[in-house]
Amino acid sequence: MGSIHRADDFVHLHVHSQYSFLDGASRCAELVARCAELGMGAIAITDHDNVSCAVEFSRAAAEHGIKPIHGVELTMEGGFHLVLLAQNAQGYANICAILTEAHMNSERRHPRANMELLRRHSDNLIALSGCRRGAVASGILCHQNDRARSTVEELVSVFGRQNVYIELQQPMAPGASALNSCLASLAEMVGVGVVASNNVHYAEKSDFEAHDVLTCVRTLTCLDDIHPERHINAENYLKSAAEMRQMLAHFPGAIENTLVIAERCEPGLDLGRKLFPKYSPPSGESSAALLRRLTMEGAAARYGNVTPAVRDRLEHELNIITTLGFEDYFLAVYDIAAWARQQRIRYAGRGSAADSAVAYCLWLTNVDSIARGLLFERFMSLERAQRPDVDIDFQADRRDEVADYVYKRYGSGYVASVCTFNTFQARSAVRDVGKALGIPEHEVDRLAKMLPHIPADGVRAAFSRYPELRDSGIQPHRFDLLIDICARLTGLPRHIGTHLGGMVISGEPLTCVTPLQMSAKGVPITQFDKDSIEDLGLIKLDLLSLRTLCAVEYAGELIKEPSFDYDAIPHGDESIYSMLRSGQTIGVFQLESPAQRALQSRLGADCFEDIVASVALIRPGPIQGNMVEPFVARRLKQEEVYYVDPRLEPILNKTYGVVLYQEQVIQIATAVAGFTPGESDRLRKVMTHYRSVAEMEAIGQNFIAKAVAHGTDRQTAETIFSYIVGYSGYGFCEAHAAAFADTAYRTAYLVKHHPAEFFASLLSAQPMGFYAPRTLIVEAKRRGVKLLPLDVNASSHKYTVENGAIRVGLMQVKAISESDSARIEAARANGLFVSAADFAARVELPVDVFENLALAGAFDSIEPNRRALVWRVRQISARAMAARRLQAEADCTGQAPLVGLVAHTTPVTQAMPAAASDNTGNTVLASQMPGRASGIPDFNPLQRFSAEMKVLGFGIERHAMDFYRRSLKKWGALTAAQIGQATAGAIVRAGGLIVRPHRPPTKSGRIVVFLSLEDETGLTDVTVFEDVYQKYGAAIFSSAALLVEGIVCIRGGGVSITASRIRPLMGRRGQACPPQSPASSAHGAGQ
Amino acid sequence: MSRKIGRRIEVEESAPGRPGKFYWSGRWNRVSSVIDSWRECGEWWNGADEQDYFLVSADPGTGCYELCRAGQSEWELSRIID
Repeated sequence: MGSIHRADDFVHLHVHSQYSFLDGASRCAELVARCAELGMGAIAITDHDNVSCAVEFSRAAAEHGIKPIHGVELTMEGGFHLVLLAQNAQGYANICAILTEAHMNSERRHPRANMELLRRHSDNLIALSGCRRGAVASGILCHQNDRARSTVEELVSVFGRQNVYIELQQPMAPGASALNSCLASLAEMVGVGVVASNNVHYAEKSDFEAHDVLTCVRTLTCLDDIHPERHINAENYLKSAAEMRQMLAHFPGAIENTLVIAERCEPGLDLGRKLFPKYSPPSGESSAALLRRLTMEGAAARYGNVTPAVRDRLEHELNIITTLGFEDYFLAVYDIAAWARQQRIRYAGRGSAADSAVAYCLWLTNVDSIARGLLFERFMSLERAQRPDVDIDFQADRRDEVADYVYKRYGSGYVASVCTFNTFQARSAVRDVGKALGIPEHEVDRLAKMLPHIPADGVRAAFSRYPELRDSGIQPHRFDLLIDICARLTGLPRHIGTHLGGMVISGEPLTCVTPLQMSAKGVPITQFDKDSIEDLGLIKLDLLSLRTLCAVEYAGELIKEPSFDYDAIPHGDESIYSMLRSGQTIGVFQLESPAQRALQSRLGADCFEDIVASVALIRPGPIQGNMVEPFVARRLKQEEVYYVDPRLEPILNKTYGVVLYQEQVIQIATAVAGFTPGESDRLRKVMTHYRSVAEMEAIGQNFIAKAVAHGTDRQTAETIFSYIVGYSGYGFCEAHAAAFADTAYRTAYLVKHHPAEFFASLLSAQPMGFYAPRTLIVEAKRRGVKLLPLDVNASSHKYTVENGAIRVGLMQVKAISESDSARIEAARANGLFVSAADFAARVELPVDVFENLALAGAFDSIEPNRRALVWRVRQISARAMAARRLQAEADCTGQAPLVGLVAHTTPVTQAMPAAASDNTGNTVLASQMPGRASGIPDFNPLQRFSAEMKVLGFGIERHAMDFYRRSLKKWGALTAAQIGQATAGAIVRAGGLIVRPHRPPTKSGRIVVFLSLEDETGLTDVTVFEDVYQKYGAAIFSSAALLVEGIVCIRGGGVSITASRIRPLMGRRGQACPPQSPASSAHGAGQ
Repeated sequence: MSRKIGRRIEVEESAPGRPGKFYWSGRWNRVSSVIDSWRECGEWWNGADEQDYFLVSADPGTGCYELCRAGQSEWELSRIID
């Protein structure tokens, strides 16, 4: 660590990093690196009301040999700023305590501290008076010198005279020199020191523009506006010592005091702590003994006969767990899972925890790691001593019950959710920066919507790479400034959020290492994300939500067979594998994407191992690494499986000689090069991430040297290492794949044997999975499941099953809430509705929901003319409301109930009075009422479909392509069902709604677009290679439906089209494109 | 009260970037003191350069003069303050 006492030195003690959210334009690493470049020996980071930077700051400072000083710029009551610096770990803990109370006792996102709070946590802290927004400077600027003085005196009474400094800054703003003179006089008068700072908000002067835009984003202004929080110049950068000394030449003591303070402060963050949860067994036995007992009891239940091999494995794992001190952690997770089981909350463990037999015996996972030969060391090892990371998926609708249990079990202050930092990506950056630059909203919106999900610095390149942008008419040069500033904001955090499942449980109060604040959801969150939280000594536990498990649970309710038990679904059902081999896997967990369906139709799956491999294979890594083809070829015996060394056979035989799983790398390194399990896992970890060629060579030399030392000839060792290099970047955890494969198999069983119930459940659990409800309905119908229409007299909130048919649920109706549905169902329990008026009289609903129900056909069984009903909805609703009001008034005054205004069981035409008042109070004759217009013709089929699309998102009676079928036929387009029967190499045309067009990464870097076309008979998968995509990309990404011409490609049992020409059929908003021949359109689009 | 001027003027610098005397009202005015100074970025998004401002008193002369330096050596009298 460099000395901080050099005559020309200076230490920045008031610096904002990116975690000042929209008020810091440089990353912590950039600030620290710049500080090192300037030869400074220390730096403090003082973000607004948080210490989120602390871990990152400590790491970066250690890397550069700089002393990190942890601090914060606190917002006090009245909005005044105050800088606090931690002198040591106790000071840091006090900052955490102050921040926690400030956040928890104030309006969310507006934390406020007060002097009383500071007084309670003042030890080991140094207070600096802050910028112009500090109470001291602002007092002077407002000519309230007494207020300024009393503030300093109060700070002195809280922190002690030697711990209070008045900040002098020279931001080259009007009045700064005069202010500094006043502040220096005040300091002398009160007897406290002065200290120089530059209120740094960015590392380099050139970063000012980004900061200015961020300020506009924060203050909801645009650059042309004036706002007091905008800085008038670019002087708040990390200035050199010489610059600072020159700027504050009249105050040499203020400069020197930066060094004095830096000497007094020690790093506040102790990264070596262990704050593991404490379980406290109720029985009085030790945690280790309890864990052993529960594990052995679980083993007896799981295995029946606990063989010596099983016992040895469990002992081995328990030994590592207890040696590393994680027994309480395992017990805590066990306790959570046991509680969930008791509450009948469905869950499934995933991730590397499934490598553990102890986890299996504690019912944390369903993967028998011993039977699968999985390596515990992938999860935990003595050498690595890494903290275990257990991930459990809970059924999404009950996950929060589990989290509540954890909060209650361990107490507030000991449990919190882990935060996330939402960073600027291309779309969000374009929207925010566009607004700040004053670009018209519709232009910004159009550009943002056209951008794929890319980093914020990829916008300019996107214009040349993506034809839908290039051909959009948007001229990138008009947005030069926007694009440049977006690039500067890449990856900066915009705001703090809540991790979907990550929680920490601590053995000591969390506030000794992290402040807590309230999330939007109303749960306490840490100020550190998953990447930093473990460095604080905490262990993260992922309690995730999985909607698939909601669907599974609901399917269990819908399936009326008493013998059905999801957990007892037998493995080895040949009909399931037969379905997988057909590629008809829409609805199957993890196996439903087009790439998975294509794989399934080629792989010839006939055992559970094939599903495990499938889960691992369809990932960006293996696809990019061209691993799928050799794997399938070897699986199908079209390519010889060859082992360069016989020791590889037992390791790689389950993947046909291909290194697919991370566990295999560990085993190879152990078997061939004699690595210890811990060393092997380190190798695995190193290889999982991209390395430079030089790094890779160094790793290879070590591996080869060790392998040769263990009796492997050099050439073989080199070949084996080349396998591992080939694996680099895409290896998947086998245990995780196996855990997912288990759910995949069981959901495949439900798709195959209980399609009505399972598709009804999938539709009820939306949004989830790969496909929208529209596509799931097409698939359910393709499987022969009938769809029953929405009906106020039959539909429940969720989708239901009636005699093997799916009844559309009320939940599908736009704007309806669960409580709306509950009121409908409750009223219906007293008798079916006989008319819309009867419905309105008995169910109080927002009128737009009533109208949406009418548009969706929910009243068809009682009022079949939808248009006539829609015409009357508002009037019926108003009248029902008036009747309710009158009834309420009558109830209040004790008068007799008003009978007959709207009779509950009388059809509306009879109940309607001869005259009524409209909402202006004018009398309207019944004959003039719209509802009396009995001659109103109903919607035609296209109008009915359009209305259903609008309020349901799909057509109940017809599919969009029904309306195009005649034209499609004329153009020679086949249905999805017909294409399924086509011969390879045939040139065909197909039309359909576009489903999930996506561009996965490819090894060559060239773009390949995969999409599906949905019509009334099913899906047709389409592959669009780069040359075709470059011609027709605009159509693909700006249309709702396409007509595609291409060559039929058959691989295994899967049929797809390789596109050669494309034209839009329907615009994004559903408007039909003018019918023209596809050839002419395609030609046009290609020009 | 202040009067907006916004006119290019000749300035002799006492040190690089600091006004020593300026030509206004048909005579050279010596800067007797710099009352305040600051820097502005202006409309950087419209290509404006950084500008240094000096609020000075002058001899001879009454009131204060706001001088603005843009670019390397271009000076402007922005305002005269009574």
